[in-house]
Amino acid sequence: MIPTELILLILSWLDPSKVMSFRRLSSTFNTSLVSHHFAKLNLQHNPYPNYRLWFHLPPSYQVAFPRLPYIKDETMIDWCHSNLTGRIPASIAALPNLQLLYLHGNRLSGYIPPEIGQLTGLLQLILRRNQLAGPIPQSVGNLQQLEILSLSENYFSSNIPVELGHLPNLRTLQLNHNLFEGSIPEREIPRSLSGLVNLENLSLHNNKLHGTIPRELGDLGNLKLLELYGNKLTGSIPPELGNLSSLRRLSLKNNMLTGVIPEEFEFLYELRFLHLQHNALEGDMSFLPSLSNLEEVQRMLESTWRLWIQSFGMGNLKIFVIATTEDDTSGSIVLDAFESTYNVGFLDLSNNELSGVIPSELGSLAHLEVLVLSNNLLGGPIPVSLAKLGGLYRLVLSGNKLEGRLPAALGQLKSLQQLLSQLVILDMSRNSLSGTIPSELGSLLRLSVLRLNNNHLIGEIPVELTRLRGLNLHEVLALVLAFVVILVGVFGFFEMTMT
Amino acid sequence: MVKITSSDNQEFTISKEIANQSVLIKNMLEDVGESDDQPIPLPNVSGAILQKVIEYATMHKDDPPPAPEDETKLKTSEDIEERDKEFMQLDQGTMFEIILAANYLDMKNLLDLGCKTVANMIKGKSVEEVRKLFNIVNDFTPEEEEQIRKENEWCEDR
Repeated sequence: MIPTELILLILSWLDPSKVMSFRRLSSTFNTSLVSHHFAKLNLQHNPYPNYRLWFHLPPSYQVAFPRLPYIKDETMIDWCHSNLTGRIPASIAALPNLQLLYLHGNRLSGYIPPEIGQLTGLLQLILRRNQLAGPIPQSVGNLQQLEILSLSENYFSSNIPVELGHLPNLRTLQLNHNLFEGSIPEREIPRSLSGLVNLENLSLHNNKLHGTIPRELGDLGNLKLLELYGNKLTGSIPPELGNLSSLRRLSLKNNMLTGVIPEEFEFLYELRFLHLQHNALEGDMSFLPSLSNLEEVQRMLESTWRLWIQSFGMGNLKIFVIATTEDDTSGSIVLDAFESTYNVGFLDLSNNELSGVIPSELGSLAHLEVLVLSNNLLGGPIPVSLAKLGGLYRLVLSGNKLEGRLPAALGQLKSLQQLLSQLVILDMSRNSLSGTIPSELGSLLRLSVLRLNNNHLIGEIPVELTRLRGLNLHEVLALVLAFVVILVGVFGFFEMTMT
Repeated sequence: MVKITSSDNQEFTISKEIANQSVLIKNMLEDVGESDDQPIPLPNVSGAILQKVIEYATMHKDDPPPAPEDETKLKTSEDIEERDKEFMQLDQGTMFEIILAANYLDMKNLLDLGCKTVANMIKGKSVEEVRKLFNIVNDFTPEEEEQIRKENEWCEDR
C-alpha cells in the first residue's frame, strides 16, 4: 500500500482548492494538508493558482502566495468587481513592489490587516464597496506615498484615525457610507491636515460623525470636493471654508448645522454645486452673485429670510431649490434682471412663506422645466407670461392664495406653436381661483395630472378635456357625464373639485 | 555494466548510465567501488516492476541533464511527455508499485511521473473514492467531518 508521504506527494500535484476538499480524508490529512511544507510543495506544483484562493486558503498557503513567481513582482493588483469573498490576506503586505491595490466592488469581509502598513510604496488603495468592518488600522498612516484612499461603502466603524492626517501625498480621501463615529478629529488631524496640501477630494458623507466642522479644513487649498452630508454635525459653518478657492462641490446637507451661512462663501469662485438643505442655517446667501460658475444650489429656507433671485450673473445655474418645512418663515420673491438667470431649469421655492405676487418675469426663464411654488402665501393672479415657458413640464402652484381666472393663454395655440406644449403636471389646487375652466386646457396634449380642486371654479367641465389622452379616460368621461359635480380623483392623479 | 537483483531473485545487467538514474544505486556503486561485480540486491522491488523501471530508465538514458533553470521552471501535473504517458498506461496496482519503486530507488523523474499520473486520475474523484483507492480510514466523527466541510464551503460547492 502507498504510504501517507507518497499520497501527500501525489495530492501535491492537485489544484489547491481540490486539495482542501481532501482535508476530509482523515485527521492525518486534515493536519498535513495545511502544513507549511505541503503548502509550499503544492504551490510549487501549481505555480498559477487562481488568485481568489488567496482570500480563502489557510495561513500556510497565504504566506507562500506572495512568493509565487506570477505575483511576487507585481506593482498592480486589480481584482475589482471579481466576486471575491473571504478576507484580505495579511500576506498581501509581502509584495514589495505593490503600488496600486484595487479590490473594490467585491464581497470581502473582515478587517483590513494591520500589515497593510508595510506596503510603503502604495499609491492607491481602493477597497470601496465591500463588506469590510472594524476600525481603520493606524498603520495606514505609514503609507507615506498614498495618493488615493477609498474605503467608502463598507461597514468601517470607530473613529477616523488621526494617522490619516499624516499622508502628505493624499489627493483623495473617501470614507463615506460607513459607520464612522466621533468627531472629525479637531485637533490632531487638522494640524497635520494642513500638511495635506495635495488633498483634492474629501468625502466623509453618510457616516455618524458629530461635533463641529473643523475650521482647519479651510487650509486644504487644493480641495475640489468636500462632502460632509448625512452626518450629525453641529455648530456653524466655519468661515474659513471660504478659503477653498478651488472648491467645486460643497455638500453639507442633512446635518444639524446652525448659524449664518458665511459671507466668505463669495470667494468660492469655482463652486458648481452647493447643497445646504436640511440644516437650520440662516442668512440670505447674498454671496451667490459672486459665484458665476454655480450650477446647482439647494438649501432650506429658515427663519426670517428674504429670498433673492437676482441677476447675479449666475449664468450656469440649472437647479435652484430652496424649500423648507419650517413654519416660522417669511419672505417674498424678488426677481430682477432675469437675463442672467436665463439658464435656471429647476426652480423649487415650495414650503416657504413667500408672499406677494408671482413675478411675471418668471416667464423669461426660457429654460425652466420645473416650477414649484407650492405652499406659500403668494397672491394675485397667475401671470399670463408663464405661458411662454415652452419647455415647462411641471407647474405646481398649489396651496397659495392665488386669485382671478385661470389664464386661457396657458392652453392657447399661437401660430402653430403650442404654448406649454410639454406640460405634464399642472397643479393649481388649493388656491382662490375663480371663473370657469378654460376649454383651451384641452390642447395641453401631454398633460397627465391636472389638479384644480379646492378653488372657486364654476361652470361646466369643458368637453375638450376628453382630448387629453394622458388623463385617465374613464375619469374624464365620468367628469363630462357628471356635468357639474364634485369629484375627487379616484386614483389620486386627477382631482378636480368645483365649488 | 552493473548487476542488480530483484526481491524475487531475478538478475538484471544494466549499463552504468542507466543504473546511475537511481540515486540509491549510484550511491551504492560509489560505496562499494568499481571493482566489485557482486550484484546489488534490491529487496523492495519485484522483477516485473524492475523490468518496467529499467524500461523507463533506458527510454530516458539520453536525456540531457536538467539545466539549472529547469529547477525553477514550473511544471504542473499536465506537463507529461507523450512517451511517458504511454509508458504509464498500466493497471493501477502496477502504477502504485512503480511509484513505490521509484521512491525506494530515488528516481525523481519517475516518481514525479507516477505521482502526476495518479493525481490526474483522482482529480475528479470524491473524498470517499480516494479513501477507497488508498485504503484511508476515515477517523472523523460525523460532526468533525461536517465542520471541515463547512470550512471548505468556498471550494467544495462549485
